[in-house]
Amino acid sequence: MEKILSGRRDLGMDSTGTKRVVRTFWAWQEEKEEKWLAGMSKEGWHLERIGFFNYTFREGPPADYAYRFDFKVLSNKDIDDYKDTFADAGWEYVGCFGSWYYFRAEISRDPEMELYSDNRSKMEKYKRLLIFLVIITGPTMSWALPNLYMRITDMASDSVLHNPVIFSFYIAFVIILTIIELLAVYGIIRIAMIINRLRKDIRE
Amino acid sequence: MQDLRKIKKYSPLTETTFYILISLLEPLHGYGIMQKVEYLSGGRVNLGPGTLYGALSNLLEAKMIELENRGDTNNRRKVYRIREFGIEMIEYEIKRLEEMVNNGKDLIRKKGSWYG
Repeated sequence: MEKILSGRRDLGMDSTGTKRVVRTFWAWQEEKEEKWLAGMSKEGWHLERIGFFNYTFREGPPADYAYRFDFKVLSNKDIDDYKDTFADAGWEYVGCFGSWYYFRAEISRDPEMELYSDNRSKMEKYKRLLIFLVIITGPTMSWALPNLYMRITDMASDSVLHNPVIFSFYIAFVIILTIIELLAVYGIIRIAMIINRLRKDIRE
Repeated sequence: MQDLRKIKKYSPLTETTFYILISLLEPLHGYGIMQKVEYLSGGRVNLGPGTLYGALSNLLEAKMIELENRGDTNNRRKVYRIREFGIEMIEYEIKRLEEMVNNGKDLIRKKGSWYG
């Protein structure tokens, strides 16, 4: 749900054979991101750490890895069991970004390996993501933004907003928040489309 | 005996859920379930860990299974076991599936005629 910087910026390599790449990805483009990480591993750059809008890669022998992301809200006491179960199934835990958990597996073990073996459970994953997005977006959309906009129209009577410096900061803040909200709404629509597509293809 | 209405609410179980439930007639941890389901289905049902995790939380919520409470400190891994409602659910599903199988076999044999 995040790709403010378009493309990616290489921050260069340090002496230990690691490099940081600034990158963010949209939740609805998961497969593209998974492929990109697999491509990096093929070139010998293996994902080591997931930071805030950046990845750290470590140099090593090129390998055929499949990368997969899971979205799950987990409590601390459940996390070890969660990672262990994935590890037993052949998925190495790489790291997490918020509630996104990154795993990788060597493709040669079983090319058909997936985190989700049926569309119903895959759909549930995207439902969790959708609920999460609605919860974080809802209050801002329905309460904060309308109030912020109202203050702009009230500016004539607002002594604080009369100050031109404060006013331009205020406008910039409202614009940035609006853009973030619009992106979130777009994300919600795209994820709802994924859910709908999966729902039509449940076989059991 | 649980309310039949409650059983019908969850029926039919998905193939994945049914296999997980019957494998939990003995207490198992997550990977144990995956292996057992694969073995029981002759390798046909290959549970992904994400799917397994989701199914287990649904079953816990439905009170068909529970976590085994082990007093020791070595409880990094969660062990699940079936509850009474889970067993009743399995029995109901077996009857339902048997009915389907018997009717299918019967009508194939009789080439579709359903009387006598």
